[in-house]
Amino acid sequence: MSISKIQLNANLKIAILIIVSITVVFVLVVISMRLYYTSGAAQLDLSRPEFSTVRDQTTPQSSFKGIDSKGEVNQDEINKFNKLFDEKLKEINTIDAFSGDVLDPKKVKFNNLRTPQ
Amino acid sequence: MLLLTGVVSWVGLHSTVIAKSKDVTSQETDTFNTQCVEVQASLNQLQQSDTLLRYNIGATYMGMSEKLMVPLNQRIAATSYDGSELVRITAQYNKVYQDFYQKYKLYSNKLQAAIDSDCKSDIEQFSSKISEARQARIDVYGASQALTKLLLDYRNSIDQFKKQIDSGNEH
Repeated sequence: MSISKIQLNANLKIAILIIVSITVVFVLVVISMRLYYTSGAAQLDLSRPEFSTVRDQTTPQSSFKGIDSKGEVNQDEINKFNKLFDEKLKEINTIDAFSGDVLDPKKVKFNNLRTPQ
Repeated sequence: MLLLTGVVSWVGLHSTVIAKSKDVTSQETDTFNTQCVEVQASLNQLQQSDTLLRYNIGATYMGMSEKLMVPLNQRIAATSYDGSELVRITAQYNKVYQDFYQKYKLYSNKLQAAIDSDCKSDIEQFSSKISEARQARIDVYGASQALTKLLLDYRNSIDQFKKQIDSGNEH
């Protein structure tokens, strides 16, 4: 085989390698993006640009005090547990998440929308 | 001459009427466009506040299970007390949490679809998308209420469990 043919083969192999690599990367990106949207991660991702104004209002996870899985089971421990539990339960009740029919057409002022005649 | 005057007057009046109609229509269109923009802005604001709410409340719901209920159940399991009711409620709670997770995901997608649809070109579709998002949000609230109820059930079961400890009733 002549040197030019060897060179051509090598160049062809490199080109194929590059094309296959790009194709594999593209396929993996498509799969990743699909997983991102279908898994529910996208709906909770506050790093998205549209959530920049609310990003700093998240509650730090370290503020949630729990109990250790190893320990005594007696009245004192149960009372300590109840105190932590009641605190968080009160918080949940106060927030009353997703209450209020905010998408009621009257509230969204949607009722006033009329297509021009 | 009289006829010519009449024709000219009619043409003039007609032109005035047409001109006035065009003014009203463009004014209505401007109002409609402004209202569309306002509604879109409301939806965007709702999306932001609901995402933040979901993030924070979701962390609290998960924390109730992972940092309180499960560790307590594990402690009880290491003893000879009967904690089966607490375990049952915890399992139910985790299941309902998954339901809440899925329902929020659906609601979020519906709301995004409403935001993405063009109010100005197809108001019927826009209206329909908002209705779908509204129903999905109501479903999320239902799941949230179910979680709160289970937390109350767990809390009540703890009071029952305390009686076991009081009586020293280990199995």
